[in-house]
Amino acid sequence: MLSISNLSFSYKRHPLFNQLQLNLEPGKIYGLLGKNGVGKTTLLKLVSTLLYPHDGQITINGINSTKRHPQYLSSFYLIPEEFSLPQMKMSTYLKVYAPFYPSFDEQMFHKIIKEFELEQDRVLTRMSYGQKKKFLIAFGLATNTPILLMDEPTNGLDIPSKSQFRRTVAENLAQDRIVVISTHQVKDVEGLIDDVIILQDGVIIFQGNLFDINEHLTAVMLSQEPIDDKNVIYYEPVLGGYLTLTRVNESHPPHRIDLELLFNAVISRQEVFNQIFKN
Amino acid sequence: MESKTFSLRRISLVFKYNFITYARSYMTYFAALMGVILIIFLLSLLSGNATNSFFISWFSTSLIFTSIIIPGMGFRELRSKTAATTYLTLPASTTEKFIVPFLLTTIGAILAQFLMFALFNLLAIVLAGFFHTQLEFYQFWNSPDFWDLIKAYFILHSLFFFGATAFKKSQILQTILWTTVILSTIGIIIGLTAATMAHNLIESYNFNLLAIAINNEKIKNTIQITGKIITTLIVLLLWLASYFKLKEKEVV
Repeated sequence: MLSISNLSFSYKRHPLFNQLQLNLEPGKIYGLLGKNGVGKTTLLKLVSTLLYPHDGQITINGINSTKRHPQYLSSFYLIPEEFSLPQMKMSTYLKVYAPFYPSFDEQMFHKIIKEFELEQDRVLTRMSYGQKKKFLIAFGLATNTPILLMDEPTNGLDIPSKSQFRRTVAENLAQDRIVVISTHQVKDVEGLIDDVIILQDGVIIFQGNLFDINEHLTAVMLSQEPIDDKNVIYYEPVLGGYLTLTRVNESHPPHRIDLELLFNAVISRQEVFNQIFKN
Repeated sequence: MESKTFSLRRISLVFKYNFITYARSYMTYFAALMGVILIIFLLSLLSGNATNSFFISWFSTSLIFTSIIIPGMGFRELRSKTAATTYLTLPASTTEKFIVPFLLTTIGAILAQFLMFALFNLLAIVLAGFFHTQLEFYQFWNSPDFWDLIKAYFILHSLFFFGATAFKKSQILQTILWTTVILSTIGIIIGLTAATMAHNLIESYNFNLLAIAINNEKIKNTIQITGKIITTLIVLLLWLASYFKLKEKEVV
């Protein structure tokens, strides 16, 4: 279990997190959503020990992050948004880095590499950005660490690769793993995530399970602006009408919510969401 | 032998990581160094100046050069955010990540330097033979300066190893610059203090005390021993500071 308690952090004169609380449980894929600059990457860096908290603590299965213990480091793998790979062949990389992760599954790695249509023995620095990213995703999945952190994993992937990414992640995840996908491109992780965590101004403004959300709320397309409908939580004009987030009722049965709509709704109607999902 | 911060299995993995990552740079450095010495040797051979003393002077020069370049090249992962991300999250303790490059740049580099110089020495003897010049193999390990050179290696190593963890860009140049500034400042302060003390002694007509202070063997020895202790402490302190620099490193 990943536990963040009373976390405070700031960049010189810019405070970011103040007494942040977050608990993540095994067996779930979390979508860490938020606009640019809200602190998604910083939060992942703090969990990955790349930054030290100014106050509070981060623990993975009871081990504190601040001392960079090997046991802590081997319990997560970070796929950063910006990365560099050494000038070596894929096989050499595997020989050097994979042994650090005791549960590394080489078979799974080769399977994913094949699914991603990557050449098995290419020099890493000669691959395109998208190919490098796919390689890192394959390596990250194969490490089988209890926690997998992905920062904007779909950046740089072409359209077919984005759906391939969703398929691959869904197929190759152990059931007791925690996956955190940080993104501002919510469409890319649609159908993949179990829980959403929405960050704004360094605060988690909403955390909820998509299954629960879908039980209470539904998305509908209305031809007229729903001004006086008390069941309507949020709506936005789109081509051909109004994309509306409303409470589930007889006239509006449950229907899978568009993640982008949910995100926009939470950002603009935070207090309503907190009221609905306070338990 | 497994603990939270030290395990032989992880040490061997970090060693493998360092060896594969740095092997090309180290080999390039030693090959380039050997090439440069060989060219200089050939030039002196052609001008008829190649003697056994060439080996003596170039052994010390090249060792000093290695003590600057090799530790200065260390921890290059920390110079880029992306490489530091991979390196710092690699599942090994800071102690393990520190001790491996430390051993590679001290014992490893010294042994590689000896091997390189012995190879050069043999090659030089063979080349000199073509020019009817008889040269002897320089047994540097029997040289009277050998241990002083090794000590000098460690002193310079501590400085440039620290520089590699402390500076983000141009580590070697910045280390040279800051060392010069700090040493000059210390030199000026000591010089001024000594001058003031001597001046006071002269002013108070205490010439005897001044002469005693200058010529007394005991005082000389005390100064030498104090110097050695201070140097050793500085070396240890710099290595310790390098460790903490690595430990506290963040990727902002």
